[in-house]
Amino acid sequence: MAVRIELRKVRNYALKDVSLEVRGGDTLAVIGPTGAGKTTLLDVVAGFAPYDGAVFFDGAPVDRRPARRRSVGYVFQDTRLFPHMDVRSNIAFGLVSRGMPRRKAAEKADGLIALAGLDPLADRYPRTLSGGEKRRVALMRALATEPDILLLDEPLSSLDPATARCIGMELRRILERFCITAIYVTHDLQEAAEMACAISVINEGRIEQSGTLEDVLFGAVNEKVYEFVGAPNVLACETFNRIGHGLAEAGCGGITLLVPDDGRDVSRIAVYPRDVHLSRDMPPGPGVNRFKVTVVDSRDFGSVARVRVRAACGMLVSELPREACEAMHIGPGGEAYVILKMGGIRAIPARA
Amino acid sequence: MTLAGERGRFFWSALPVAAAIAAWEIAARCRLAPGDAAFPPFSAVLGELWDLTASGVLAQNFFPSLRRVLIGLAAGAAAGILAGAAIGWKRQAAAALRPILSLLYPIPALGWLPLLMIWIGLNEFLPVAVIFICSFFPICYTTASSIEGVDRRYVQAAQSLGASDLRILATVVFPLALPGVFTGLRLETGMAWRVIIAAEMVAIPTGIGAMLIRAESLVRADVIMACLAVLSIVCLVSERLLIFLERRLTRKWR
Repeated sequence: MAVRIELRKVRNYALKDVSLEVRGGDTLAVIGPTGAGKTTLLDVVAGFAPYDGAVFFDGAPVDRRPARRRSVGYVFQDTRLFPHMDVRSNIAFGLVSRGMPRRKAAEKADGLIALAGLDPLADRYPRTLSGGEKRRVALMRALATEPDILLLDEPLSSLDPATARCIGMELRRILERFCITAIYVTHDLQEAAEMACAISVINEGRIEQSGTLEDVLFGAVNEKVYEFVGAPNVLACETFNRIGHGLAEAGCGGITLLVPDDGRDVSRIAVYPRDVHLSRDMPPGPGVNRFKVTVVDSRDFGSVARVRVRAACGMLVSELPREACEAMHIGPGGEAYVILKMGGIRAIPARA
Repeated sequence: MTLAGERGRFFWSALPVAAAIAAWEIAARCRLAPGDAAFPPFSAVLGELWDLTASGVLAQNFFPSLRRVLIGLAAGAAAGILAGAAIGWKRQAAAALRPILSLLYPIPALGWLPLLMIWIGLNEFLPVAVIFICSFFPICYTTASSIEGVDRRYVQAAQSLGASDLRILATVVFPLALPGVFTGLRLETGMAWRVIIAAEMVAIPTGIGAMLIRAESLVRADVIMACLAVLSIVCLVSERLLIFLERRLTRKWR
């Protein structure tokens, strides 16, 4: 049975009255800039960092429970594989620590090694492993003891995009299959969105906002959250005319866009890069929410390309499959057209 | 390194030794130093070393010293490593034992000798006790600092995997501290030989130290030099042995 995690008014050298809850079997992504207290938050749950306040696992306080009795698997950012043990012994360590006979532990470790496709590495020592291999081993080591809770500290950082994508997929599969309660720390919003449906934004030791990706992206409660999740394209609206049927016309830098209207006053609209479609030729059909742009540059992030374009209303970022981007043969300075997907446009209410 | 490179390095290391021996031999043979007996040539020392070995005199004096060093060092190192591990690992042990250690550590091992002579008397236990004291404190010190120096992040990793304190110390912290512990052992092995020679010179009538003093009273510089050569080689061998052991234990992961 998956364990529910609850923090109540936890404070210490890095955290300021942090309260949050992760439902059993859920994954909570904690995002925030460097130095926000993300790792300290994990250390509190793991029992490494001192704190005032209370932590509960399934409603039971664990503040006096030492780290080794918390049944928490921790994938550290720096992996912390034991350098003097080979991969098999690293993975078997937790099993032997919890009383499993050595031979049985080694057998189980071999099973996990095979599951993760690490067979050729079983007898290798950490110093001979690549960054991605170390992360995989660290993940298997944390999962070997079948912990109630899994803590992941930026498990995909400083990996090349292809490896990060591969391990990310593996992780998602594991989180779904093991039905384990997890806290996933990252500073990458995209990564957070892919790993978890619940997101908490932490900044300077405070949880600024918790909610779904949509809540955080389009309902940022304050400037800090807004600045941090500033991933969507945000366009300032000079005019905003309701035309009924839940729609409004927003004038942004000379371009008129059709946007959803929920009755609130809107000063800006946001659209996520993946909802900005790019095309080299003028797309057929009615000319709603489409306009001409100049390509500024493009960068590849694994399987996706992010193309920056300049429009009359300002800079926009479009995200599209890399192959599609390559097939279009559009380079910096080239002209193209964008279509903003209607369903992807969010109105940001005017802030008080 | 290529084989040719290896040979070249050996050549450059051996050259100064060979040159020094040659200079020694020539200087002694040309009687550059006053008195034959005070400065025998290398060949004479080598001959004397052979004679001492063949007659069994060397073994008779060397093995008691070796035995004392081995027993004293083994006991001192074992106790030092245990105490050092406790001090380095447990804050309470550090608080309780550090002050005593700090007070006793600076006392030279030979300074204990007169007191130990009163307490123990002149018997086989005396040199062993001196070696024990000479090795215990420094090894305890280096072990404690090596254990303290192990990255605490590995300890946290082991804790999160459910390991007990004792298991963490035995399987994570101590192995990672081994290089530091071995440095202490190496230094103290050399020190143990220096101390045993001094102790045997002044207080114990058997062993290499006693043999040196007897040779001095007979003005046998060749015997003294032969003994010193043996000591030099023994120290070298024991250090190499410890380096070899350390490499065996840590080469896979370092």
